[in-house]
Amino acid sequence: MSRYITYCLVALSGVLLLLLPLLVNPGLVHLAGVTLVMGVFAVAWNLLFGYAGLASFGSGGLFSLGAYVMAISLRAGYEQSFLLLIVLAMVTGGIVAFLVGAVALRRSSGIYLAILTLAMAEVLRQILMRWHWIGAEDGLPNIVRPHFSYGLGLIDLSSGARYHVFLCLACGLLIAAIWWIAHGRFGRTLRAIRLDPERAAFMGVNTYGYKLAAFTLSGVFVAGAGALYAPLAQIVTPDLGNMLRSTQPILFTLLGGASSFWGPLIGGFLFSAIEYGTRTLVGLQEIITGVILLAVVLIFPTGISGAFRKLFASLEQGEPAPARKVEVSDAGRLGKPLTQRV
Amino acid sequence: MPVASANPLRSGSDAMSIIKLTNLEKSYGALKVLRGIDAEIGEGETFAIIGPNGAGKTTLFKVMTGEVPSNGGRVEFDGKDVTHDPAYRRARAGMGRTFQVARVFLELTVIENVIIAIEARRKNTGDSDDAWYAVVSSRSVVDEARQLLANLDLELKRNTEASILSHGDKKRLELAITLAGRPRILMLDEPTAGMSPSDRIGVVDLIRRLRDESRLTIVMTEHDMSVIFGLADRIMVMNQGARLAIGSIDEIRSSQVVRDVYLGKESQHD
Amino acid sequence: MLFILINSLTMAMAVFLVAAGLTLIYGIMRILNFAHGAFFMIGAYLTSTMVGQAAGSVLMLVAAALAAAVLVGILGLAVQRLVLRRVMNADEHYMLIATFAVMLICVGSVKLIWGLDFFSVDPPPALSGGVLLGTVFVPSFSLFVIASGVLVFILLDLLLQRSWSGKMLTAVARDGWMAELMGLNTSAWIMLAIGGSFALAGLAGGLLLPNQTLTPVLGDSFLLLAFVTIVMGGLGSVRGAFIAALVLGLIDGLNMIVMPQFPGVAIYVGMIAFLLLNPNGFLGEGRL
Repeated sequence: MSRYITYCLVALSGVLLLLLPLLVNPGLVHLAGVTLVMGVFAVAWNLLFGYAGLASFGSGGLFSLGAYVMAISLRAGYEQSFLLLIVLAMVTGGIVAFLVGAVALRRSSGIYLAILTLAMAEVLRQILMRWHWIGAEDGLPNIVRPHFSYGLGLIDLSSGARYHVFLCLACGLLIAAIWWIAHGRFGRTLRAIRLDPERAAFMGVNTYGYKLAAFTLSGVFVAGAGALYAPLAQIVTPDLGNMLRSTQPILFTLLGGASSFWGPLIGGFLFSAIEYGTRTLVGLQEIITGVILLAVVLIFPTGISGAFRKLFASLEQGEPAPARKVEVSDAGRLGKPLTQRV
Repeated sequence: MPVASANPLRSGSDAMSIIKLTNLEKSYGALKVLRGIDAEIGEGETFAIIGPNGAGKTTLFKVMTGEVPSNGGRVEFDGKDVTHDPAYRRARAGMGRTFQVARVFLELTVIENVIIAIEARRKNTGDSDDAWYAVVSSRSVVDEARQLLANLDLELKRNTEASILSHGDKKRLELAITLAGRPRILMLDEPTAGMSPSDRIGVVDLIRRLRDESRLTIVMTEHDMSVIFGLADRIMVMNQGARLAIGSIDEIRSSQVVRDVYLGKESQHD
Repeated sequence: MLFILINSLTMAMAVFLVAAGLTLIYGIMRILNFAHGAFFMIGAYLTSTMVGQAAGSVLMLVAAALAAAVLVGILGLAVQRLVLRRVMNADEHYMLIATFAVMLICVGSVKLIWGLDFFSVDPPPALSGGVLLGTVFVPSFSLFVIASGVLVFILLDLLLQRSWSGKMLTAVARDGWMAELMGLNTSAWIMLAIGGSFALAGLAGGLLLPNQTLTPVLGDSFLLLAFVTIVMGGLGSVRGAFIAALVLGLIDGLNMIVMPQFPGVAIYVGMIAFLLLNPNGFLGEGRL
């Protein structure tokens, strides 16, 4: 039953987003667009985390890679092939992610993988910052929103509202593609690997291969989100790939719940709403965000969607569903966990 | 096609051997856990590895299945050297295993656990008729899973989340996952560890059934001597990382060395 | 050449000062603390409030830094009580998020208390000049940073390797349960050590204050380098962090000579290469 409710809610929010330019002012439409792109980014990141159990802290690098590919091509005048440029950005992201993953996944996991990916994204950012051909620290401003024709006639995305509609459709397509990957046999196998990589290996699953494939696919979609972001913001800077950017999908995902496919999107919009609501409060914004995150980690480790699922389950069965995934317990004795986690 | 029977008198050398270990060594730092193990396991045989705690049984198991690399020696499976093959290759070649503490996918339901295993096998053997993007598993996969669960008395619990299964049910589910891979050799690491006596009898019956009904080769480590003596064709006794004795149940029973090192101690423990 | 060497060493010791506390916390609690940079920043802000626009003397700067260290240490203990203790048994990703949330709260608080404006503090008169080493002019402040780094390392190393309390701490960190069994009051030791680790962040903030521009993003730039350092040194190892900081400093110096148009890149490339070749760091994980 809750599955149909989910689908209805997704469809409803999709329609609402699409019609947003008719309902609210352009500023809010822009914010919704940014949130949507970041939401796709987070969903793509969660393909790696929630399904394959790998936490990359350098996905901001792939995002900025996609944005730069798009920005450079648009400024070079390839407006006409806009749709192809998105594909080009995604392919580039996939290739880079594949190369990074092929090396990094063989040698590291957990914290080491997190730091390794963080450092790789930082290398990219440092290079972008010093490279004068692409604007160095100032980045590339004045990116045009394209208008192009594909047989049927001219498609003009130059106004904010039109680009928003295009963005909604494109993001919808990307999300649908990720949904397919996550829910098919590939996604099922990934989940098995996250839950117990050794057990999966003894079923004959090449866990390294699957992880690498997930890493690559995640890179494809993250770069795709970046490519859609460039014409939306109309400026790209090296800071697109900084540490904060890389941690954003993580925040969205954990806020919304990693064990749910829609969690990162829910988290993204919630996060944006909080940021928007507190935008005039300097300093308080971070504090409120931080407190909410802490509350999520300490009280609802399954995120908002997990909390809702628990609620649903308790409504249906009259008792709370068993807690999943993490147990956040109050370690009475400090020494004890150390012996367990060596 | 000859169906292997449980013949206590048969020795490893005159049957077609499916596993051959040559001078297998493993050390962790300065600690030598395996000191040159030699053994041959025949096709269709039920082979038990016993020994006191710390004898290296589980390590031998890990090295045989590819969970950890060995430091020397060879592991041959079905005539091929698999010493340097990772675990998933050995699994594809037909090694199925269970763990001492049952490892199943706790967040998934019972049938999902089995379906994933079946799909992995079908993909690897190339007889999958599902497209990779199929969101719902095909009828034939589900039917196979339900058949398997029915064989292991888990059919009624197929939609239960694995995390809330009892210990014995988890063990059986793990066996179902392993059998879903249609292994040629079934490797059971302490299949009755931590079980209640009634569960234990159930598992022993199950293993006997597998041995008698299919042509499965079974390799198991075990603590409980009564389990071994009821099941195994041949036994290898280990002590301090070395092979102490190998032979039929009667040979082992009558071996003075074994009696001194292992059986005496074990009877004191029990 | 000598100038670049001094520069490298200064940078190495600055990074080591920040990394020391980070690696200690990891050694004790197995938590990679994202908030460490924020505590470093709070230490810097606190010190600046105490010394004002310009530090009167070296002594005053050091005293203010020590006072800031104590305050940050107390703050750290509060964070440990309220947050870290509760997520220690959770999945490591959740620990990262929890410390990230703490970082956000710290940054927000800094913005609230000190505002968004940049401000800077001049070094005390004794450190604003320089000395001539042969033909090379060396800023006194660089020498001060190098001396502080080396001094902190020697003190920490003595404390951890030689003294009774350090051995106790190592024992507790390696096997808290066993230490407790032996009747050691592990909680008190651990609290002290954790407070000390946070205090090190505050101290680093105070000592490195002069010549820094104080902004609410100050923490980030050092945090990333500190991460790189402790991962290279082997998580949890103070000696490893010291060696790694020196190596990174030298790599950065070489970077200046060979590829001056891309400063700061070689450090990360070096770290990536190193990690791929040697995933456990110089001295292996887990040694205090």
